Amino acid sequence: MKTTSESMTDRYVAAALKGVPEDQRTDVSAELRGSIADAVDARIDRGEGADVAERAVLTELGDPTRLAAEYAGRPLYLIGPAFYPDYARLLKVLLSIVVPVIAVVVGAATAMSGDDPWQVLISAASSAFSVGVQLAFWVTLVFALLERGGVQPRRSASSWDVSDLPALPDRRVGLGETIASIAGLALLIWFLIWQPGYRASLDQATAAVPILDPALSTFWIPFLVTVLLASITLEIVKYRKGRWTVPLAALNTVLSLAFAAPAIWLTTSAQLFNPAFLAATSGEALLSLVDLLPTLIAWIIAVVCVADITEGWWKALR
Amino acid sequence: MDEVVESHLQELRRGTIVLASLEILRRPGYGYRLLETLDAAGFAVDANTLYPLLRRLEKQQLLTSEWNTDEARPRKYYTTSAEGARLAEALRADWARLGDAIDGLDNQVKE
Repeated sequence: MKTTSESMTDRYVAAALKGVPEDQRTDVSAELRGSIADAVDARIDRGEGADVAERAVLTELGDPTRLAAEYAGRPLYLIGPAFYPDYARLLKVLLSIVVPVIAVVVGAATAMSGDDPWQVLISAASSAFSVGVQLAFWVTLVFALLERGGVQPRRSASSWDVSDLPALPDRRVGLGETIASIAGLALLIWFLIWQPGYRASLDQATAAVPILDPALSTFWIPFLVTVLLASITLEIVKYRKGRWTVPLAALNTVLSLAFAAPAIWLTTSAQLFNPAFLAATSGEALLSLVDLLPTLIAWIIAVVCVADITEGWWKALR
Repeated sequence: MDEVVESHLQELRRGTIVLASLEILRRPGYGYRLLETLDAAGFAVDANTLYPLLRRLEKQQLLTSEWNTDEARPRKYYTTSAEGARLAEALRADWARLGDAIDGLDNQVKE
């Protein structure tokens, strides 16, 4: 009987020590054992059986994981109030942008390969769902690690001053917005460097045809990637400043034009796409869509570029 | 409703355990004895709150500690440090001030 009751305390103390730094373990363990033994003795003095007393004391102490967290100073939550607003904002922004984009892109891609509408719908929905789950998982993981890493959010209460108040609410550059922009730019870089090939069918035996003209890789792709990398740097600087300024808006204008002008020129002068890719797709359904693609892309680039430049100046000057 | 009342009471009592412990430990004491003293004095506190709290106060140098191995069971004795005593005085002063302030509310209501 003695041995079973001893092992009960042993098991409890071991569980309560989880996460306690190694150098404090012996101390915490000895103290906790002593306290438990004191409480058990007090109950035995009042006439309880040893086993019953020990069980009652441990029950009163409660879940050892809770005690372990208290001892180790570890939070009992995944993402605390300091990070939660940024976490929720970022997740909302990413999900509301990326999931629809993935649904449309995958839907368009499957439609181009001539699948029936049900198939298109199912692939679009399942891709959107799995991307959404992935996004939620990784964002949550990063924030949980930040929380546990003892990182202090930039806007901590102690260092805050009234002069930190943004002039206007929408002038402030949010963390979510910044990460979303950087993710978008990174996606473009990824596309330019490791451009996924186009397959005429899902059959793995057919070779993938590069979408962009291989001739671009000598100058234009490195140039565009450099501009995009500079844009990522600009996003980071802008976030650290916390708002748009005139020099930032000017630099943003230069970078936007440096990307948009060559991209539009390459697209409209038929230098962007790999002729082999156009040939491979020309026999297919939605042929007209492929023909329209250069014009469509040129327009999208132009609109995004103008919107981006305007936003910068608007927020910097207001 | 009881849960709401309980959570507010807990909120109100939170700092009083620290003050009471600092006062009691002006004379050296160990965990379980402190728990009993607090209980007898009318401060309801759980063992699983008090033990980690003692270590936290020690880390903040409000308590000093020493192992006593003279008895059959070695015990860690805590004593309120000079800094801890200063904090206790500050907390006490604030407690008195708050008590007066709350009494003052009664007078305002009567007027």
